[in-house]
Amino acid sequence: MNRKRAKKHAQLKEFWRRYKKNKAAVVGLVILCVIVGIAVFADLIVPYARCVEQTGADRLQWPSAAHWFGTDEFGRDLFARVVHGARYSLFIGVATSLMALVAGAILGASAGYFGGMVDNVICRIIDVFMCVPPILLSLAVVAALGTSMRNLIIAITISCIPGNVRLIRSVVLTVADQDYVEVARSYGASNARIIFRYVLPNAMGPIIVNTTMAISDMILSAAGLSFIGMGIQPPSPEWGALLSAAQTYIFTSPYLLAFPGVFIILSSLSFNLVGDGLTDALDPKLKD
Amino acid sequence: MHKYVIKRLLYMIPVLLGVAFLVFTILSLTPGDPGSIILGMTAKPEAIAALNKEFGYDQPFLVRFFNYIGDIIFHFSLGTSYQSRQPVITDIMARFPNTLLLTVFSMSIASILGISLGILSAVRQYSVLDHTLVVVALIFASIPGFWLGLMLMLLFSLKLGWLPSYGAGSLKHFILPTLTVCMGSAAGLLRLTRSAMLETVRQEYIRTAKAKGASPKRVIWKHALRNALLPVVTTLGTSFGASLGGAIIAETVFAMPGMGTLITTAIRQKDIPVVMGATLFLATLFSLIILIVDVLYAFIDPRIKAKYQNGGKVRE
Amino acid sequence: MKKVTAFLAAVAMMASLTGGALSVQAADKTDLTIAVDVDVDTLHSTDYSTTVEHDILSQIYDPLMYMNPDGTHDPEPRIAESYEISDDGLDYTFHLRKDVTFHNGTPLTSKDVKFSLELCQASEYQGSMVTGLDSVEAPDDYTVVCHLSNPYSPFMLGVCQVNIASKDYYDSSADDFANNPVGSGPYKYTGRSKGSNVTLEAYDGYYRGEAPIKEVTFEVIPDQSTTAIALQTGEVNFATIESSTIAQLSANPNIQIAEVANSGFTYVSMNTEKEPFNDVKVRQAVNYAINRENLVQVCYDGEAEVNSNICSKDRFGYSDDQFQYTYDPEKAKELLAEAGIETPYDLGEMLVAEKYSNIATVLQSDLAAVGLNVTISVKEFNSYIGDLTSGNYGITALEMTLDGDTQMLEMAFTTDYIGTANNARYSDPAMDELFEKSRTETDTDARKELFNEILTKAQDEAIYAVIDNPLTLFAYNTDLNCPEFPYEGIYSIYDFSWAE
Repeated sequence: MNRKRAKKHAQLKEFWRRYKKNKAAVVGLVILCVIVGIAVFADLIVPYARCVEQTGADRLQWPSAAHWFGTDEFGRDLFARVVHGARYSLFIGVATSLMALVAGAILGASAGYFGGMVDNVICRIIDVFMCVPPILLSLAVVAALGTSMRNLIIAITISCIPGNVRLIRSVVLTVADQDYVEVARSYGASNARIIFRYVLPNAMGPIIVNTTMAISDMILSAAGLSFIGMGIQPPSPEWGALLSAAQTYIFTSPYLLAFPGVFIILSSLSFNLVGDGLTDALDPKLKD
Repeated sequence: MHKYVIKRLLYMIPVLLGVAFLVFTILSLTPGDPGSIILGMTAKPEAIAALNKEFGYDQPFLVRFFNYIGDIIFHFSLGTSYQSRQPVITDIMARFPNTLLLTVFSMSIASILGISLGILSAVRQYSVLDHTLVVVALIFASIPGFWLGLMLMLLFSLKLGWLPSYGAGSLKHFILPTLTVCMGSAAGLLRLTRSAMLETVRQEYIRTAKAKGASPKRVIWKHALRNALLPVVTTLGTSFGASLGGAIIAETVFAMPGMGTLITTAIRQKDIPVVMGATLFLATLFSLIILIVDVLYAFIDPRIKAKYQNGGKVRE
Repeated sequence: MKKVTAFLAAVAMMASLTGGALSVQAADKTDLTIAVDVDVDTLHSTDYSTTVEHDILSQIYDPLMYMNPDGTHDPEPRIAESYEISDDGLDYTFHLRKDVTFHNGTPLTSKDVKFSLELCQASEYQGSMVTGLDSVEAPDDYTVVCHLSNPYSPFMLGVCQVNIASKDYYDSSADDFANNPVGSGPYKYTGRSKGSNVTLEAYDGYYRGEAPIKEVTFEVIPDQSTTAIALQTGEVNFATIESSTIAQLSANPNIQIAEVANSGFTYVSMNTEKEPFNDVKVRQAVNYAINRENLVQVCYDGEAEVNSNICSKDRFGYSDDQFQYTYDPEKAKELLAEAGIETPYDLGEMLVAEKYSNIATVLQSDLAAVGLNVTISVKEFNSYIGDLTSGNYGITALEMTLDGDTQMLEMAFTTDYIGTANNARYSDPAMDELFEKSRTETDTDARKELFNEILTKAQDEAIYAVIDNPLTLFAYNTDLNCPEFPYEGIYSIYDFSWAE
């Protein structure tokens, strides 16, 4: 047991050594930690009440000591809204990517592992979904279900499942041919056990990288849907919703677009950088 | 080869039927009925019912769906818009050229920029240039499209007065929307090309070529590039869908009459024939593009060509 | 690298095309570009539904007579030069001008008017304009008589809004009628590009003389910030704007802003069939809880007139004597206590369409201040309207326009309109009867008194919590001469001209 732990430890160390070589990825990780920290400790940084508290007299104030990021058209403190918005935006990004990953893993792994009829049916359905541009699919789903955080997450998830299924299926196809899977099969291991114990873990590298980068895309998709007016319920301070509300004040109060915009870009950038770093660190071919 | 193409064309039929059914189902789930949407809140219920009847909207879901499919197959008709009362195809034809131009412009600029800079970045791996390119690409990939569009408009239309802020009247109307759409995809292609190049450089045959004493330039241009471009070409096909998504946003920001704005407005107004017609049109186009890319792929990669000729099935 | 060079060449070419893109305004400018926020679906004279379609059609078609919507002015002659109303209020006779021609050159006669009124009457879209009309008769080429089954005092205002179209043209092609309109108004239709623009040209045979502005283009620009930029760059000369861009636009010396009073109103509707809104005290408390001045600042950037009366100040029937609710949270709390409501009290969902979510956001905080909690539930407009008209809601906020004669307010109050525009689902036989009387009353003073009774009753019972009348905002090039915009902001390009 101890030996196993020691081995794990050594692996992690090796992983970190390789990750660290990519300086940009380290910067990305730092940014990501800061943003996640903001999201987790939002209530300690500034109470939620501040981001819904309206003071009509103080509306559209430029940044100042009292309001670090200025105030919006309702006189609400933009700093508080951006800080608490981190929770919503990161949650949407992570939740949609994970849900799409789980759905993609189940469908993609079954298709790749079983082949034949199962593969055929899944692939044909995926082909149908792939033919509809993702943003249109999301729009239609939101129109059908109504606008809310839950429905937004469903809509974005659905539109990104097909890509995941394809990716995981192709990864599983290459892994399933390997010798150790054959060996496990000859021992009489169940299909589910083989998939979850042997196939998926060995296909993990590309999947982790893809999911990390997907989070960045999902944050941007959510912002895009908010822009078209199909985002989440007010007064929730999701970053995309902040941008879309600020749009008409672009001339007189550009800071309303600048701050949430910078945070969207930074968080999306940090996920991409970390994804890049993971690619390098997880790619065995890069070992040198 | 042509056998394969015909097979693929026939295969498009069930896929498109699937698309039709999927979109039709989602649209039927959207609340409201076209009659009350068109006539508004102050309309009398009888007037709303009469209008719905005229549209055939009083029929059950499946009947409407089969009527719709029947119209396409037997009358080659995509139906009539609830809102404009005109054939859907005229709506599509009025807007499709703009979207096509926007997509072609942004895809070509994105591929030229993305692929060439990607190669440059890979060739000079770990140089200052490489790091700068990768980071700049990542930043562009992280900017929300509409935000970029608004910023470009503020700068080039309002402050500098160089470019028009809306419409699709001339080539110069396409510059800002094209930039808005292509920056993100160029960034993606740059990263893809770079990693594909680095991947191929590590392959056996490159090492062999190097060992045989081929010049580094020759190794890159003759051997590595050709193989590295394969995954890039496949992505170009599938990223058509993504750049269409970008086009929807850009069309909204720059008030450009295109397929994106057509479909988004129609979804809101529950103009089912327009959404169906436009989506099917795009889906057909998309399938055709994927098919062309696959055929092209075969021409670039002789291994795959051999497979087609043996009538073998391709697994991706 | 060849490709890169090619790309640079392409960029250079594109850049050279942009030289002189935004030309300086010529001294003898005769064209006008107007921004509209949605595309037109149809240009059918009666089967249209949007404001933009109405605005464009009213340049192409002329009405029988022109009536200022506040209902106080005498009708001005247009296609009809005079009119009489029979003593019993059942027959309206119009005498037509003899020199009116359609854009295709054919003269306009009484058969066209008869046809147009009947077409309107049969229309599912605009049929309400000729409410009360029984039949139309054309005794000779230039006389038209409208017969009513019962006296209906708002008839004149309604019938004066009907676009008069050509019968022969309709008979020749119903499709062209809807898409290539031929009217007798100051501008003729010259073409459209779907999703992009509609173009008009001054009609040289117009009976009041050719318009000074010769070419008009309506450009479709859905996004408000884009419209504001296009106004500033001079690409667009005239547009209806939203209040959020007004600060920037009014700072620009080349842009003039006009603020026009409007009968449209912002209001809170409470479902009187549901607890606790069936209690008049609760509704009054909501009325007192709203800080209207603040809401107008926040949601309309100050560009709305505070008014708790459903009847706007310029509208026939309004009087300062009618009660006005003001911001008084203490009074609201007292009323809630009297109603037996223990605060904090959960009112449930405030249902709202996406467009009005900012209003709901302000109301949420106003209501919370008196101990009434709501959660905001935003719906897509069309599904929202479904819930609203079917009474599937408790409290909501929206804007509404019941323009035309003050009689139109019956849609908000009478039993017949439950399920359509009577969102409060209010039903009181006394109210129904008052509207029944005002419908047939022809004496102006007596009608005014009836409306006074109605509006006083509406305020006493706090049937709605009306907040304000938003102003219609026009932004246009300073060099464009526009006469004062009439109430309701309906503009006629015929009256515009460029400064010398």
